[in-house]
Amino acid sequence: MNKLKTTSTRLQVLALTFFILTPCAVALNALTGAWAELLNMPQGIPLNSQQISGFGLLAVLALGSIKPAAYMIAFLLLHKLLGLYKMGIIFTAKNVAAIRKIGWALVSIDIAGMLQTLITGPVLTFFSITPGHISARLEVGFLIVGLFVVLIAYVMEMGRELKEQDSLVI
Amino acid sequence: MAIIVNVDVVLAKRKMKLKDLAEAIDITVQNLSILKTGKARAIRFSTLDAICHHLECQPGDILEYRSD
Repeated sequence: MNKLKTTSTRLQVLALTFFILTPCAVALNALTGAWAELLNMPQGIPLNSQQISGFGLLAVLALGSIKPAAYMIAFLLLHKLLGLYKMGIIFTAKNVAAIRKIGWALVSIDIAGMLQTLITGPVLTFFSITPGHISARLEVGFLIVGLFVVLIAYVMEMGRELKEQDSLVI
Repeated sequence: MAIIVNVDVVLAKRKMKLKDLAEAIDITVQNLSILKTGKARAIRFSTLDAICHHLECQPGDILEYRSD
């Protein structure tokens, strides 16, 4: 149990570090003018940096924050789950709910990424930052992992119910 | 649930305490309390056998079916 607490504490610090670093990375990209990286844009599309000001800048920042926000939610949920492990709460309904939430958060990362790619073109075109373009990208890495995590959560829930029933067999 | 556990009734007739029965059949008071309050989901034949043996009664004295 002590090993679990120590490991959870370390991983919790790591999750919190990534939670803090994510918006820092967004800010760094914005400050250095790495807009293409921030917006996860396909290569070869010219970007008029002069137009990125006022509402255009806000739109770019909002677009660039969609996927990082999903990452931040996932890191926050991971931090909470590790907190439960740290307290010695392992096979409870709370843990199952936390794992399920992490699964859906992972799914939302890819959905956010695809949504970001899809709406970036029209929004940038609207603000005359790029010439008219629209792009779509299929991202399924986190989606598959997320669905698998959700499945594991359901299996854990079934195991927990069995354990609970077993404890009521006298 | 329609199954009523009458351990407390039989215990009262025998003038025994829950703790004494728990010690006699080697089961925790907490588990016996779960059984007594009707929270148990199932009862093992071995437990029922031990209870009947120590209380000198029949399973029907311990368990009762009452239609809802």
